[in-house]
Amino acid sequence: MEQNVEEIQENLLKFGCCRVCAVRHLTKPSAINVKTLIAASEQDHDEPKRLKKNPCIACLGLFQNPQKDDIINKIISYLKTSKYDSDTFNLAFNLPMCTIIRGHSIALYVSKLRITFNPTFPTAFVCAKDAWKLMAEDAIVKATGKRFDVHSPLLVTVGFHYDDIKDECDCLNAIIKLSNKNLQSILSQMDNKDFVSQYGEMPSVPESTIEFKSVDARHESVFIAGRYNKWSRTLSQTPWIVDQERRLESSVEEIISNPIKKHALADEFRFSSSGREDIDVRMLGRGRPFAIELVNPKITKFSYEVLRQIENEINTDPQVTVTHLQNVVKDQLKELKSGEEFKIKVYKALCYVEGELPDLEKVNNSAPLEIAQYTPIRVLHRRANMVRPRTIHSMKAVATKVGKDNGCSFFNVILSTQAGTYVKEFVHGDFGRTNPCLRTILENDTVDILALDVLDIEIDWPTPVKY
Amino acid sequence: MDKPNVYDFGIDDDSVPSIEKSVEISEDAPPTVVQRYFESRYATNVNDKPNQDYSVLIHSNNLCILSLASSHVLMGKTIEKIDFQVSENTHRLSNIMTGKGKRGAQIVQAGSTLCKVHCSDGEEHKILSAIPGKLVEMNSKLAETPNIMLNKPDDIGFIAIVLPQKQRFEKIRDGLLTKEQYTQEILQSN
Repeated sequence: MEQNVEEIQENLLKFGCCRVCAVRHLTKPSAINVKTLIAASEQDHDEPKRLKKNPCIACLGLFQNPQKDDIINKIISYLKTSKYDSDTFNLAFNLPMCTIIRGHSIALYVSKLRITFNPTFPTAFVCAKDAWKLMAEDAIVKATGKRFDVHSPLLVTVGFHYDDIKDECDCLNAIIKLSNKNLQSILSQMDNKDFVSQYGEMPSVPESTIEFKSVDARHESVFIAGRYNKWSRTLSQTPWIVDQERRLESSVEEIISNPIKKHALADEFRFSSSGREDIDVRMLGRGRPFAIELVNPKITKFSYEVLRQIENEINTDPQVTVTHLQNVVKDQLKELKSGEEFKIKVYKALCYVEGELPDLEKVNNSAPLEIAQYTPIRVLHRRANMVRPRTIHSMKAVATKVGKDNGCSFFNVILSTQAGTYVKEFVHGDFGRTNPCLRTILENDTVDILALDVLDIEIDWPTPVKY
Repeated sequence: MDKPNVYDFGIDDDSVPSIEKSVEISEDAPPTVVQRYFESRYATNVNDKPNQDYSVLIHSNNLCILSLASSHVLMGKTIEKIDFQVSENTHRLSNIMTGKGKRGAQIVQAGSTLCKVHCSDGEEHKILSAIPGKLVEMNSKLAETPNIMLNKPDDIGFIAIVLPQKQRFEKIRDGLLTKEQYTQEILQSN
């Protein structure tokens, strides 16, 4: 039996197979190990150059040097210079379709010879892709110190180029439609005689060698969360762009995300938060929960110290303060979004009336309160027009002074509301479209709002950081 | 407001200006909602009918709020009832639309009838749209308390909200009188 294996191997070599392919075609997948492959490869390399070597009829030269080591070295140097901090990696590549066809052809030949000696001998072999992956992994692990893991968040993709793909597939395309997706199963369902009559007994000796085309990597998104304060009344949460023209030069989102993106060396970021405030509204108290998705980040591990350093960088901008910056996992973002709809928000509104101060007890006595709110006119151009019921859970109005004698009386209202309540409209009524409102409660048509602060978003998220 | 302070931000509260100090407050009375966000325009003698005069408040987002101008023929009268059935097939309060695009909303032209008013003195007047566009909202409060249209025209007594077509917006706006032109015209006609 062993005799037979060696004989077939020698035949394969004569037909123009490289030693690695000759070995893997006679090894069942469960018996393979990288040492056997490396040994075969070295033996190939050490052989005297008595003949000009052709590209292997099975792998098109993928396991042959110099291209084998070249390609692997290109992957290694890419990983070393691209700064990915992942401890692990996974490898993906698509070999040209013709390598699968060539493998099938050789397998048919091998099994035909084997069966004459031992009809029960399994014909499964180690496919080119798996063998090459094993060898590449081994070299990459040794050179970069990263572990190979099929579940790694870092996926390295290698692209190959081969000149004669089309010609080689065309002869089979004539009898059956080939596709990259299920090529293997199409081939195995084909009648062997049909295959051989169309393709030949053995693959032809390739005229060109497979070449390296590209290497690229992508790391799964990582998520950074925290809470932000906004101290400015002239800063929007997201870039404010009208007709492709910027209205304000910055935004909360950019002030927070750019330093984080820079540290993570990410391709892009996606900012999300538990609701949002208007340009002219401050976000005080413990701030608003937010999260940033970093897309294809190179740096994914942020120590406590680095996170504090990023906070400090963001906080050099006087308009925004970020705290409790931390890594979170995707699952935790649910909390953030549910808060947008269901959690209580606490506001402070600076209000006034023309003339004398009305009886503010009317305000204090009216909560809790159900209101009906039409879509505010200021957003009606981009939202559907509908009535929404909202709850004002509590209200407390207190007279205040602003140091101006302009014939008006001023008061602050602290109110806690159901998420989604438009507070400015609740004060002035929006042409009677929010009802009841402070104008109806105070029975005064001049009630209006001068300034609004968010005091709290009642969500305990993310986990507080100890400072 | 009393909650366990699990989030100690280390921010000195005194460094945050109080709400009173966080905004400019003018020496005069602060601008009203209408003054802050709307441009005030007018249309007079709509459909060439005398004193069919309307105020058009144009929001910075192009939405227009229509109401009676102080020189409207109805001013000084008392309204008995408003009829929203303006034609056999069109009832202005059954204006069903969907989505942010307000699909299916009734379309009005300049001069279209928005409702019919029956006055206590027996007179009947049509309320006309001053501009063309989508009827985004008809003020349904007018059905029960019609006289707010006369008493609080630029507030809860508005007539309707109309959204002009985007491409025609500037032309429509420029075809309306400015506040100065309107004041001038009213002075001359008296």
